Amino acid sequence: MLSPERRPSMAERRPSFFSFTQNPSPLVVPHLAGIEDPLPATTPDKVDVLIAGTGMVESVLAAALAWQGSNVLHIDKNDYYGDTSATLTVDQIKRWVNEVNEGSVSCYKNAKLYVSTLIGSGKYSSRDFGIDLSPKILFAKSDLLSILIKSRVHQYLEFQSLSNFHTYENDCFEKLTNTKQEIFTDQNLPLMTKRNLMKFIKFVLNWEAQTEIWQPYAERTMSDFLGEKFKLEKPQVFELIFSIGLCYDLNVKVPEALQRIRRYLTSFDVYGPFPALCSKYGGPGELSQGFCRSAAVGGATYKLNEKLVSFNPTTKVATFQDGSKVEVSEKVIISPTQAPKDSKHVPQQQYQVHRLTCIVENPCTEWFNEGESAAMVVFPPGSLKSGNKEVVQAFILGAGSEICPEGTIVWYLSTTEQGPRAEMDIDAALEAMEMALLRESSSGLENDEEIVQLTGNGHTIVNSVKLGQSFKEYVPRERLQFLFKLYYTQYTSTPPFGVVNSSFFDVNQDLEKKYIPGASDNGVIYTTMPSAEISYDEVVTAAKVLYEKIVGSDDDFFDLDFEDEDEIQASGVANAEQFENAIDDDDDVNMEGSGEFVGEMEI
Amino acid sequence: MNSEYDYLFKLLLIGNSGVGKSCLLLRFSDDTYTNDYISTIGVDFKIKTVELDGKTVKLQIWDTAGQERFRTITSSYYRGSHGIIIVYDVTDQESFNGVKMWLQEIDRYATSTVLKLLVGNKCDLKDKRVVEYDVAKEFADANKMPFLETSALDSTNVEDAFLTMARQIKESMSQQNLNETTQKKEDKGNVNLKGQSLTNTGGGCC
Repeated sequence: MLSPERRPSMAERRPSFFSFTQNPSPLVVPHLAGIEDPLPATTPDKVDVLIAGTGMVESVLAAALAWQGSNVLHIDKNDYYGDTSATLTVDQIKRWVNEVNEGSVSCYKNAKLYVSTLIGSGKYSSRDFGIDLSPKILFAKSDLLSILIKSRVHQYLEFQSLSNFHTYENDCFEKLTNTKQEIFTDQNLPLMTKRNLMKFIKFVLNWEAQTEIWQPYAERTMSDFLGEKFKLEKPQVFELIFSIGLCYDLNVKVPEALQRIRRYLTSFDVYGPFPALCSKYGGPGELSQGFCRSAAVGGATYKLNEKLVSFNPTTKVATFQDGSKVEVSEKVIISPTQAPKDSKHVPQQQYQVHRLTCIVENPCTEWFNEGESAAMVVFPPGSLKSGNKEVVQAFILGAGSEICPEGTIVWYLSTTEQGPRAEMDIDAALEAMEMALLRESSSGLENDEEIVQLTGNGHTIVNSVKLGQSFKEYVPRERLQFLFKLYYTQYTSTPPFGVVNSSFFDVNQDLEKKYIPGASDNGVIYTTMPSAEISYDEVVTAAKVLYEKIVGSDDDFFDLDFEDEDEIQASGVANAEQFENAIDDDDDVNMEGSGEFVGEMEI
Repeated sequence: MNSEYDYLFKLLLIGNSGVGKSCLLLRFSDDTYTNDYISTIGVDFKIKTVELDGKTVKLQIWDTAGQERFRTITSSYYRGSHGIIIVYDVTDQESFNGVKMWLQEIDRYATSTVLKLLVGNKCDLKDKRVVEYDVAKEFADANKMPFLETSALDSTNVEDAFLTMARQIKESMSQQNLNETTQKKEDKGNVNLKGQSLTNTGGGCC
């Protein structure tokens, strides 16, 4: 229910707003909402909410609050948007690596960077590339996607489909059998396996209601469940858990895995024969900029290059590095990376995400579906030379995504393995990809002798092939031209599972109230760092937890409608409905009441 | 192909705070004028369809959403734009000095082929004028862009400014039309989340 103290929203403050007492939502936002409510041309001296950090969660929160009616000041200590979600050029990455190794970017460690001289002084320029610090894919049926549409932020963005999900097994990349149609037509699958797969798919779409099937396995692993209950063999089990579910290890609990598998299946055919989308020109960096613009349209004030120095919870005054001050009547929200000096409340970031980003001079088009320029490769546990226990995920983007020039490709590898093992696993995955690519492409490229190293502490760039100790393995021994390699460890308080469980994002419960003398961050609320999750699924949950803390309820979170909707949409063809979810709706599998599979399959 | 229009152009307005970007936009798109606000909130973009040499041209004109105040315009604002109207206030020297900075921003974030137009707004305020027409014209010539003085208050040249921009884009586009394959490629593979994607239309001709 709406909190009684809730401020009037942007829509309600408009003269054209008619109060619908019977039905208070959705709020109708007139197209020039707020235009009669001027802001001063200088930094406001009083705001409702101060947000530091322009990452995904903070930006979605800023837009939600701005449209709800809060007066938001949104700052970032960097001179670019995005913070932990930024999309950066190669030059910006160089600066970022230096800052990480100087210790001035918290929550990141162990950054190592190699840049070929071909970038900058060669045939590519730094700005030809847009490298995401935490790359993400967008499921076609997800809470973020509906908010993108509701808030109209999708109008600032371009999306491409992602349909290729490969599993790496026995030194080769298996293309996923992920649709009913493919299950039927796949000649390699025995009839019995087809039946069992179909039976499982039917179950998983409505798994929650069928407790009698999964409850006995609730505390056991997903592979036990699939093997015992659905008689599925290892290749199908791995496909379901790791490629479709994008889970991280074999110990994943049954409800968690079922939720993740359903996410894929219900997203399939929403916009076409693919489950996920990627934004062009960069991932979360683009989306967060879009939400920031939306927040600005809703009245939020933006300032980059602005660092918070302290917040006094008694006077409610926030002080910035340039000496300016602002009174914050409600809450101060800070990304852990933007914590002021002498902060003592930053939540513990106990989980590591290891990431390796490479740019390869090879179009790798054979890894993409026709017309696409993205693919996901999953290395299940035990599939790599390193004997990996956790999955390594490789998200691959080509030139069509506009994040790299023609003829090049970006590989984003990451793993949830903790500690030194992680780098070994990532190395092994990289080697497997390199080998696969070398096998596939016959064209010979000169071995690169032009690798530039940004040394461990990141201060000098030397023209050398003498790479850091741990990077020896990465020296291309064959003909693959690496233009760029960036290794880093990111820390987060969010475990690599349960990303829709809101309790994981309420990291401030105790910290908020405790007063520590001398701390510069008493009374502030911290946001969470991005987790290892490759989808955007955590973003909305995390933003909603914060929104509720500020507004008192999340009932009106992005609950808005635009007055001029018809005008904008008049020329459009809403085509989403044409692809009503095929898996969800069609009933060509004969299921009789009990949930047990009976009946004939038509093949 | 959408039959409602022959071309769709994305135009941007840019310039210091308070030069009247939104007033120009509202005067052109809705033929309204308001004195009641200082900075822009609430204006995302407006659409106006015009006839140009027998062709229907749909103009999608974007405003800065107030993000110009602290020079924090998102880089994605510039993406895909065909034309940029740089606005200053003829009664405010600082806003004219700012034009140089905005040109640098454009160089950095927009495509090199983007067309530019310089507009000196508030030319109705004759007593308060500090930027002379000749000075601005010379500057515009040196930077190879057309120049107009406008008044959003009394409508002087407002329509002309937008139509000048549109005509310029249409001409350069028909020259580039030989290169149509490149344009087709841009659109390829994009998924429309809801109806027509407004950001990626490359001005496809009928």
